[in-house]
Amino acid sequence: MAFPLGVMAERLKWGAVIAAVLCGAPMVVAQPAMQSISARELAQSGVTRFSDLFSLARSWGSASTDGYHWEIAPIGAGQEEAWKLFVDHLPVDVKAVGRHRLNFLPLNVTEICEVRFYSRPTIIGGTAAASGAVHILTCNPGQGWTAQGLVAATNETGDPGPWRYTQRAGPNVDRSGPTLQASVAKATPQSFIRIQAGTDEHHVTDPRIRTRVHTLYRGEKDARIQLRFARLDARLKRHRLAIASSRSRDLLYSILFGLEAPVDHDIQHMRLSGSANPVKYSVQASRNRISTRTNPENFNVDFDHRIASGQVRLVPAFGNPNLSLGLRGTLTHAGFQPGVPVRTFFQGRVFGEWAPHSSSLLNPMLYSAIRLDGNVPGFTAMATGTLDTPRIDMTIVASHRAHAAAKDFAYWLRQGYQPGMPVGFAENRPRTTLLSADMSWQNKGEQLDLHFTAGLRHHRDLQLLSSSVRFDTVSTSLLSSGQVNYFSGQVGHLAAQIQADIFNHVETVIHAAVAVPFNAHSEYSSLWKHRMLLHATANYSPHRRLSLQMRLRLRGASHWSAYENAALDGPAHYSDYLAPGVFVDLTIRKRLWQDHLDLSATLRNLLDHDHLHHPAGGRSRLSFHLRLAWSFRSERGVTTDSG
Amino acid sequence: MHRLAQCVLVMLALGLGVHKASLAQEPFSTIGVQVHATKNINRTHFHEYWKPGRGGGVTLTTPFYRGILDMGAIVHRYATTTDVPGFGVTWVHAGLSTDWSVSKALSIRPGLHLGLYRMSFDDAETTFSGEATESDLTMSTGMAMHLSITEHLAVFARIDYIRVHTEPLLHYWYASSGVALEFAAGRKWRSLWE
Repeated sequence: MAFPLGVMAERLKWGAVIAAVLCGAPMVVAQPAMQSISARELAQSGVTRFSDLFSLARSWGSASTDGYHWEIAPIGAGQEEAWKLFVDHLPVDVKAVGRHRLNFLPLNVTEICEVRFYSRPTIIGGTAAASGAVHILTCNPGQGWTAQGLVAATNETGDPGPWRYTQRAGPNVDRSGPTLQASVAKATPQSFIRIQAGTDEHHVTDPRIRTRVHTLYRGEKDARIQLRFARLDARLKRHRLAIASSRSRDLLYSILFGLEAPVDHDIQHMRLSGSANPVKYSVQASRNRISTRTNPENFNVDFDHRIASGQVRLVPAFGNPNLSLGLRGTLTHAGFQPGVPVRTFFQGRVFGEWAPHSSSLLNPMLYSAIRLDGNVPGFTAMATGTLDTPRIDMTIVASHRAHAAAKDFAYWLRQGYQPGMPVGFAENRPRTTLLSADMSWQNKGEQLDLHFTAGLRHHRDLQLLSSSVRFDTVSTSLLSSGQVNYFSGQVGHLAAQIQADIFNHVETVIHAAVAVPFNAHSEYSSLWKHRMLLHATANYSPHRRLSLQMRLRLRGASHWSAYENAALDGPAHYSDYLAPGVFVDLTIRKRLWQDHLDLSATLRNLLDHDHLHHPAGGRSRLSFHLRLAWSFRSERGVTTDSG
Repeated sequence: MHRLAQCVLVMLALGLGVHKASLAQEPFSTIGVQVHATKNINRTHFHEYWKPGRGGGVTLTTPFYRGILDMGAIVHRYATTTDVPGFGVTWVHAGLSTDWSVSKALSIRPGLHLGLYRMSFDDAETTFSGEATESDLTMSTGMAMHLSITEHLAVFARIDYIRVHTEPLLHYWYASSGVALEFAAGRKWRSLWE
């Protein structure tokens, strides 16, 4: 058995290309505001969980209370809830109380070909993502049998160790992991079938949040998040099926609860997609269900979100190769706590993409969608243009649509969801408006590559939950009061990037991004918490099978006004100000046994600075991560899938 | 004490940078096996509660591009001197060393290692299951002195400074001595590591 890594990159690349063709997505041209992370870069960075990706995303700010779930958002371009998650060109819902639970995505990291971070509006598979997107592309397995997987473990520092038994004992800070993922696949030139499964575990024991977590948590072992998942992928000619399920024992934090609610979180997806010229279709069904576990205060945050959707596209439409037309229908069914009526509503969308005859200088593209979200009509329109020399990209978006389109936390609260404290509501305004413009300039040299990006967003009647909290001295949790309000305002953002291959075997990227809200209500301004980020990566590969990667992340200060009172009353547990932080990560990676094994060791927060990532979160310190991935194939050489 | 650690780091850097013998070696061309006895020799606040016992360890070495790759495991015990539980330690580590020849027979090997320090406590009273063992990150630097007896056999003495990342930090100095065997690696060994 052999696994020729030399051709792996080609296989991965063509896997993604075939997936794109299958799903009817346009070929992606490298975009300055799109960051692409390849499978090779994922391995070189020691990534084992999807949340690890956020330390690689250059223009995305992140926050976490427990170090496992991360709220992320493109700086100045989208809020945490507003960006969209796609897997293989189709949207996926893994949200809970308005936060993407990306680690619960039932998918092995070793099966990923590429991850794309879009920090400006984009179209993916006919769906507009006006506030940015994360798009995960999986690989097609190579011909014959393939077995892949990884095992990883993390050691957080700060444990008391033997001091636990002395007067100098501090609280236990336990490890993260082990993480285990495995897959088996069988492929022929026309088809494949692949089964994946995984488990993961993360302890939530940081001293700052421990008392709060233990208010509701009961268990034989200390407070922890546990995950297990399974997935089946299959392809026959131009049709593809995926069935996936994940079940987790989660500790769900929201400012509205004021503490971690112990819940079972079940996510199930089924999707069928394919093409029969000129029709490209997809059918999806998903369930995203949160069931509160038994707890001493009978706290209940149950939520059951079921979606069925279908999409048909004509590519090309009416024989015009520059035109595509599509139709999408979605039926949403949401159930809340016992006694609260369920909500069912329909969303419909007619959309089209038109790329007028392009010259070698200018490549325009127009997208427009007319939509109906729960009986409220709306529209989204987007225009992009690319100048080849010099490379300038422009994107303009106008969107006027119902709040139901977003299906965010504030929307569900208005529909009757009542977790935690009661919420007040401002007078209903049915739609929200977004106007945005982005421009980027790129100069590609032999050794130096420069990017500059600038953008502007105008939001009107953005529906938001605004909260204020007080400190509960007994449980150290929060007593919240919330109000769903509408806010308007503007935010601008700027980014610059330098990519250089100055030294032999050393690739260097330096990226800086800033966001500036202006002429806006303070609640709107406070939405843009992450306003400055500097990211630098140096990758040294002295040998094909050996690499050393150093990542530096400089995060600007952030102010969280909702936590002001809690920070005054309980400064040991809460803060309303996160100081600027410098994070340095180091990964050494060695491929072994003719590339069958891939071993990496990562030191995160190498400077061992105590950092807060959230005003209600624990501190992060130096941690050590070991990752061993394996890959075995029954057949040598390039398969049909890999071109 | 920290100056000694800094000194080791400087020597390691110098060795990696200039030592011709290391550069000339084929990666993974030899296998070294070191067997040694070990003793914790420093005294800190920690030692008011625990008394170090003797320990032993095994280390595998192989040439790794500009240096020498070390992977080892050491086991030893700390007996209780008060009412705290005693515990056994398994310290596994891996790192990079370099070989600095002083004479034909004598060489100095400074090195830098990462590892895990696993502690198994005796009769520990715990709140949750699984708390009777702890694993913590270690960072260590060390320096060994090798005296060649024959082409394949050497005796060595080494001193290591280990920082265990508990809260508060644990600082240990270990002294070790033992024998080192080195022989040419087979094709399978090279195939595994390459």
